[in-house]
Amino acid sequence: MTLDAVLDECLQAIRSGASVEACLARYPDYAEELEPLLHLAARLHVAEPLALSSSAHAAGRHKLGAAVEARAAATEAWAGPAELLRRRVQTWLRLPQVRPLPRLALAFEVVILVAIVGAAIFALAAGSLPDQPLYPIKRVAESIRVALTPDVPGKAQLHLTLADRRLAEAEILLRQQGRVDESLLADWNAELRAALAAIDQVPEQVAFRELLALFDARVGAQQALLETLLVQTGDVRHERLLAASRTAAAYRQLVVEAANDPTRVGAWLQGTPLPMLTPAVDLQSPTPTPTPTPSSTVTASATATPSPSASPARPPLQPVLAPTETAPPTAGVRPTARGVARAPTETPLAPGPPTETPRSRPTEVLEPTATREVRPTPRPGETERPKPTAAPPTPRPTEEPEPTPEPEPTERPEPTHEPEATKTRKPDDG
Amino acid sequence: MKMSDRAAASSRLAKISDAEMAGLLRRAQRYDRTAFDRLYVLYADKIYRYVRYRVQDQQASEDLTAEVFLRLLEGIHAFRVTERDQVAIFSGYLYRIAHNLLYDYYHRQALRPVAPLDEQVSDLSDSHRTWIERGLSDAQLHAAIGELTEEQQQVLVMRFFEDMSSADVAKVLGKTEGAIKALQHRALAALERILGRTEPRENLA
Repeated sequence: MTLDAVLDECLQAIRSGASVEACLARYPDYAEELEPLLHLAARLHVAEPLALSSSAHAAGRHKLGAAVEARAAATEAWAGPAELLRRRVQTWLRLPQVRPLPRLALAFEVVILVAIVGAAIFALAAGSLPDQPLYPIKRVAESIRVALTPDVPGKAQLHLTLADRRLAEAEILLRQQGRVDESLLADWNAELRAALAAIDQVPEQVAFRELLALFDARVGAQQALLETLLVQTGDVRHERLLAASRTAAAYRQLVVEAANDPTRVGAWLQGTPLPMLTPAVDLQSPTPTPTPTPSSTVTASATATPSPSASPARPPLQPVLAPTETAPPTAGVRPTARGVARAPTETPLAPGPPTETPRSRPTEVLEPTATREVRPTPRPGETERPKPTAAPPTPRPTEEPEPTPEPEPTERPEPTHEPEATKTRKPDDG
Repeated sequence: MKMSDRAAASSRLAKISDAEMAGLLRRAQRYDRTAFDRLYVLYADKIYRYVRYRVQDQQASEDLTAEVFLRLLEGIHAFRVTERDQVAIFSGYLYRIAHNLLYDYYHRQALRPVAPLDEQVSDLSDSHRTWIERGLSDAQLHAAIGELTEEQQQVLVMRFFEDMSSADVAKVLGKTEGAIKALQHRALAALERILGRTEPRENLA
């Protein structure tokens, strides 16, 4: 037993009434060291502890009481009715009391936290893909956004953005997993249709044409993407991509028509319940790839037209474009309409491929797109092609109002594509 | 100085269970005036004792003691009430408030706490008479305690003036019981040496 412990034991004994001597007798070995300490301890036991004077004690007590009252009042006032109600409910339910201040602060923190977590989830969802858990949230967020967009032009643009998104998702899935997601393409198509429907509701002609031009540009870009994917993937997925590509072409064709006759959009929306082309066509399609129409030309046409239209209402479009009608009998006519000047050159090309004629209705619509000659896509096979008429570049008359939009044709003098696009692709696919 | 009724009451009330203390503190956290009053009665003298051994001026000691309870009022909402060892935990908490206030006080006054005993030990008595032979007043005793280190003071005060067991003191000071026993040994020995000096100062009342 150490001296520390012995001392403690003796102190305990003395506190209980034992004498110093008794302790010393009990631990004779430590007696010499213990004695002075134990005497001092005994003295300490009888000493009067320091204490506040009565007046100081009372003063401090009063001061504290007043401060507590003030604090309680301040808390009460600050807490407000909600806090009072909470306390009452807490009393009823006999819930454990919690400090009011932190409780309110906690509620505030929870709100902030939920907001942050929510924002984070939405942010994460925004980058998700269809096969990921957050994807439904992304779609819900999108539809909320659509619903919250009040103006028609804004809606149209939003739908176009969403169409871009669907296609981008499809592309990622294709690149990552090698599969073409049909439902994504269908959604993409639906967004385009929704965009078109929104555009159709725009009363002012200028805005209408601007939106139409925007629509055409976006669809053109999407179509280019589809073309690229088409070139890069194998045959199995071809069908759907091809159908999508044709769909894009059909939309762009419609834009061309609408440039002449704004009412076409509405009519088309009504008369074409299912804009997506059937993939069935593709079976024969190894050949078909009419879609390639260069987007630039189309946009040009759309934008170009607005100038004449000073009238508030959308009147039938300028007849200027009409002349194209004269062009060859086949679908080729339409495309020519956009670029009047170009018409002559194109006409010969369009009819070229024999395969197109057999196509079903939908495909016919596309045919105008046969303009593929313009197709920008650089293909290895092109060179093989004999170019029937390199004309396209040359014919381009200055009259064309749209110099900007059509960079492609100018750049590439090689009309080489016109010959069966399909053929060219074939080598690739193989 | 006789033990007042108030001190007796405080001493009696000091025997509070952990559960009681937990309930008291929860009420205090709702700014219940009677709860604070009870806490004041329980601890005012203890805190004063703690302060008084370190501050020469009595008035300042009283003010500081009152200030400790106002600080408690400000901080009580953040105190985490538990069921276990609540009395010891709260005591430690209150002493810490006092300690911080003292630190501020020294800082304001540009004063230093009384130099720890070790620096004064060399100043030994030339008289060979013991304090027993000389006689020793309470005031002299308290003055001598005032020269101990803070830990030594606390142990002696808790053990002898507040009748706490070594185990309880250990809980409040956050030490082991063995450390407390060693500390009280050193404290008594140091106090004995101080009292052995010529004339203890007598400025504590």
